[in-house]
Amino acid sequence: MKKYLGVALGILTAIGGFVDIGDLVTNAAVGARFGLSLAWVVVVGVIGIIVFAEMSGRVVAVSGRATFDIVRERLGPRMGLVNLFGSMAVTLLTFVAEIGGVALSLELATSVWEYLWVPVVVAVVWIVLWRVKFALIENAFGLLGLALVVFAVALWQLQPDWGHLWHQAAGVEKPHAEEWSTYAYFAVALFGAAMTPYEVFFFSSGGVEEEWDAASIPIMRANVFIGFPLGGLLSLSIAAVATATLLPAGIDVQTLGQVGLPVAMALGKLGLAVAILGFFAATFGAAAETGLSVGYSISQYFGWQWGKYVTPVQAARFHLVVLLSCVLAAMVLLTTIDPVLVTEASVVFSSVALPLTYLPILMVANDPGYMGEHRNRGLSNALGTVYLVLVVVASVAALPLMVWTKMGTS
Amino acid sequence: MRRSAACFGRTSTVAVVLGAVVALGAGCVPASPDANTYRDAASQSIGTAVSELATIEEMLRLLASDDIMRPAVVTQLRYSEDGLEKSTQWFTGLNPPTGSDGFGKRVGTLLQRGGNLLTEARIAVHRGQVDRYTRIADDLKTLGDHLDKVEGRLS
Repeated sequence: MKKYLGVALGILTAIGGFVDIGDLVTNAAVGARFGLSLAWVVVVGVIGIIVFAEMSGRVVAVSGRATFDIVRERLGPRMGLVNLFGSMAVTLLTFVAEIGGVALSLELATSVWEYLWVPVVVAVVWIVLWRVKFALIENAFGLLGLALVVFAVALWQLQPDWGHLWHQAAGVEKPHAEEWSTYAYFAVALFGAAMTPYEVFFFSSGGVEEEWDAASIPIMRANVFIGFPLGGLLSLSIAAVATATLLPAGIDVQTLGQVGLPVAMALGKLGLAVAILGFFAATFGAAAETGLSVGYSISQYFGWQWGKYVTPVQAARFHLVVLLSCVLAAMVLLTTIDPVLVTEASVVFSSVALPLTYLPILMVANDPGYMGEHRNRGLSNALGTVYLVLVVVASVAALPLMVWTKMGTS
Repeated sequence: MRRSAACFGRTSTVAVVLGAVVALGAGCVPASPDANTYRDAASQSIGTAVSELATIEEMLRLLASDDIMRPAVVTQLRYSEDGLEKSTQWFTGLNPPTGSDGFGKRVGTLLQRGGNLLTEARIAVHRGQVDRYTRIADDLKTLGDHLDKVEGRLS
């Protein structure tokens, strides 16, 4: 019974923890502008993150070592450093965006200016990462993140024309007023939001924190194969409510308030309150995950003791990296940069950095020296290879599309 | 020798920085677009205005029926006012091409009317004048529809 409860908890936290500020903003923005014509990208992205999360989870379960621990050994120190630099730049940017997202959620609930919240949020995030146990961080914010199910309830309450939504989702048709380049830019952004690199760093390092072994593989797979697709459905429901309400009204999503507006339209004050709670939990949980991911990856590369399973004194350099990341995030946000803009940039740069994260995972998951009988089989390799091609295409196209479309404004 | 190399390095650094400053400065001067680019700019600014006005219109109606939390509306008003103001300043800062003066002035006036309505909404929400919300929302809708038509004619 305890085992089943553990599996259920893992699945629920995987659903609640799936959505972060990048998913919230990008899905709502795309729904408000393109309807559900880009829903296929969410599906492709969710399958991609499932493929690689399962691989990295399996690597941890079999080898007992996390991603960057092996990347350096497998690629060598120089290539490993290039990989670390690119991946960490994106993860730090995502961390900044998540902290900004928490501040924006609190601003929505209180109307107190977001920048006044930034130092408070950063301090609380740091204390949580320093003092609170890993399992509590993962489970508490994952479960609170389930509040975002309110978007699915709002969609049902809005009673949209389901046939029309399905027609949009089933066809790859852009609205007539939009350019193909803008459509492609948002496709790349959605793909980057769904396959954000930190998710894999956190997932694999979390496996070490929770002491996974080969016997943990079925539970890990249940979390990934059930939790992630349901999390993807949450992403789609955010896009769908925006399609049903914001698109006809001509509202472009530029703020978190506009992301939550369809919920208020469908369910009133209480619905919006639940949505804001979901925003807070999703962004705070993701801030904790990205903050830890920076510490994990840098410590793993340099061979320092890391993790929440040892005391802070034993992993002093890991905690110092986390602290410095928090300070850096505060400094960036206190320049009064718009967190939504940081979010938009972070999902695009995530796309750029995707091959740095996913190529080494595919290589290690294929290496019999590390994996033995658990190395990739035919289907994993076929999917992994197809997705590697996709992430390279997205990576190459991301920056030119960003410049060409002026970040999707043209 | 080492000193002169250092001087050269410093000179080239200064040249690069100056070049960047000039380039950035040039970028800050109001652009003088051709007629098509000017219409695109107008369309973009009008699109921003339509979005901000529609957002606040919807929020005011929800607030009038107590279906949304006031802090969320206050927050959105701050962003919408700021967004529309920046967009208006950007558009009115462009040098209209010959023959587009009247068009530019009309669009600028409409954008400024949008900004004024948002200011009116902010003050009403701040004072809690619930009886004014619906009327302001109606005004926002009327102006939004008008802007939508203008944008439709541009595209």
